[in-house]
Amino acid sequence: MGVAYVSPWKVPAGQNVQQNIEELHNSIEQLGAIKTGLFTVECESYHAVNVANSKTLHLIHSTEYPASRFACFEDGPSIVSDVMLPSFLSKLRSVWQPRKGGRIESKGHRYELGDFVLKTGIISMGPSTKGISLEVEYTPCVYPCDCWGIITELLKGFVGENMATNMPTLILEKSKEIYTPDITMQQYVELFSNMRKSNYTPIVCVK
Amino acid sequence: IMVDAADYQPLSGDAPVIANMQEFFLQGSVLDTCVDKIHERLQGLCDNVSPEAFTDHERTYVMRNTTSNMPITVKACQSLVDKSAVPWQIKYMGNTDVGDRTKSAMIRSSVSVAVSKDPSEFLEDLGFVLQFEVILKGYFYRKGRLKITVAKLSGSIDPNKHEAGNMSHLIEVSALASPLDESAGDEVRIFSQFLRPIVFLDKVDVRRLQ
Amino acid sequence: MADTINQAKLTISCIAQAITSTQQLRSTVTNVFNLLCEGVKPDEDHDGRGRDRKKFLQKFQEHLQAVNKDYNEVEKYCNSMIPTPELQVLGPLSHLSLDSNTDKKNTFRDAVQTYEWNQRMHEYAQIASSILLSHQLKRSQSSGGAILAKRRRALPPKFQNMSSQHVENTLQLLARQPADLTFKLIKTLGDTRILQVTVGRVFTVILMLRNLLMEKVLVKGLDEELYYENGTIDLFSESQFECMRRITDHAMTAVLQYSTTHATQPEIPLKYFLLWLQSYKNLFIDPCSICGKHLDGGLPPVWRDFRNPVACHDTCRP
Repeated sequence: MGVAYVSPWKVPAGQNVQQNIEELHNSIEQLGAIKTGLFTVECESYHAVNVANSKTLHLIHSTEYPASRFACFEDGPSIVSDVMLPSFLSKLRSVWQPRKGGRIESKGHRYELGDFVLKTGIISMGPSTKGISLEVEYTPCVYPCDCWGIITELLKGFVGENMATNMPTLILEKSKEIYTPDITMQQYVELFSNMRKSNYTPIVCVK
Repeated sequence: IMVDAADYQPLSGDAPVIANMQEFFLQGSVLDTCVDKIHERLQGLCDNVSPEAFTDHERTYVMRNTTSNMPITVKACQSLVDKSAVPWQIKYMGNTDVGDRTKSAMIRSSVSVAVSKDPSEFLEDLGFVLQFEVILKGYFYRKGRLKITVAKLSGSIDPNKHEAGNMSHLIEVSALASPLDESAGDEVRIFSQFLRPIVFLDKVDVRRLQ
Repeated sequence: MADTINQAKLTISCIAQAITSTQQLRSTVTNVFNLLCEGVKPDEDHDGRGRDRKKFLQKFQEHLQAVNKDYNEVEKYCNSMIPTPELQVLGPLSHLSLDSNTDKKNTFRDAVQTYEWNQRMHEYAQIASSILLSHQLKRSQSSGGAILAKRRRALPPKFQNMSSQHVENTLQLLARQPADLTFKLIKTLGDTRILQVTVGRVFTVILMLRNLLMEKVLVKGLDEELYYENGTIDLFSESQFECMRRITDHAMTAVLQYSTTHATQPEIPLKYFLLWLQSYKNLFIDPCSICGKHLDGGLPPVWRDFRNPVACHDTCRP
């Protein structure tokens, strides 16, 4: 468990997602990373019925933490729980119900390079593909402010020198505290929310 | 499909097939003067493990239900004995079904979730309102899938102070099982009969008390 | 030893001869008594008593002379025997040689032979060591007998005979000095102490000390479990992080390095080692001082020189 940075990966015009992710895999493998399996991050969104402008509650499950479920409100408190949380929420179904089309997931490969864990996933909502996610986790360090340089250096290795190196606000807020996996999940939630908006353009540029 | 409580494996990753577990239970209370007798009897009847002492801080939250008159009740529990080792728990408490005479015990649906930190903010964001909080201090016994608690209830949050007026202990015998599993209710009733005549555990219709 | 054996052999032949002559003496003495009992047979041809007496005396005289001769013989052997010195070297084993029953078994002979071989080996070893000492080749520091002897003299009294209070005080003094290090004494088992040293926001080191002598170092990530489930400290499981495993290796080398080169005072190696550990406080922040990059094969600059501890990749060592 270390510090993770989740970012979208822009698909250039004229290329489909499949071609682009293969290119991404190639550049990761060229760094010397080894494929170590598959991963999935699923997110189900709930809202309170009969409440005007209800907050959205996201329930996230990651294969990296199989015995845990993460729940967070948009811009609100997050909580980590055991696997019973979905059945708990189903008991509140008279108030909290899954949003229509609220289910979104990122599915793909997991790589290891030294102490790094890289995850490249195709983000899909139902039948439609939305884009590509890239997660870089540096496992030995627990303080984001300390290892941000290391993470960006690795990213520059295959993104190119002109990538944005600013810490995302989510990490920045707690960069001097011990990093916890729920921040990773919040980054995914933020990414998924952005992906839902169709006119969204990713920050990361391709070499 | 019948699934035993033992099939719940927290590390397997998948939620149990039947998340829809029911709690079969009977309650009763006993005067403080008789509580030693109860402990002696329970030690003889229950599994041969020393009873576990517990002090729990229990907050009861309610949320108005949109579809029925009964509110949704959730309890948040924190162990005050070893705060770091035992996680917070949130527990959904379904409405108690007293049932007719043929049913051996009261039934309510129940879902417990272990959570990483104080869930009050989370629950408030879900729309719950804190109704009351109590401290439960007592002992916990088990026999097979039965769970027996003998605890002193106090409204004061300081665990060392007890309200003067309260002179009894609450006893609850419960078992978690699938709703189709009638034998669990019988188990609860038979066990409760062993505690007679010190205490009579019975079905209590809370609605009628109010 | 060989002398003793030869002497013993001589004595044994002497004894054998003495025994034969004693037997001879016994038979001649028996003859005398026989004559005295039976007398001389009377001659059938002559019956003069005077002649019989004369014959008896003559016989008696002959026998006595034989006895005398044999007695002289025995005396001669007895005098010629040298009193054997006790086989001191063999200790109680020498008594075994006196037991006639064990002659059937070869215990004593085997023991003596073993002793001889042992003696020979000892001699050869002495010769070899004197030859080696006269042709000293300093291939490594420990090969020379003189240096070995010196270190033996230098280390044990200082490191072993140290009062618990003194060690305690020294540790407290050391704990105060380097910034960025936090100390926690986990366990004390007699002279052995287990220290948990946390270096900045980087890693935790489990350090096993015998008095002030460092015996084991284990580097682990901050979020790694240091204890087994039953609460005892885990001294053997490696870190799950590759960079921490590398640093563990380097730290072990540093322990050896500082313990051998700065062994004048017991607390000096520990002090140097802690200062060296302190140089890791910016492990994830500082890039390599040689190549200027953070990463090399997915690892940060994990190497630190023992004299000038600056961030450096394993492959960039100056």
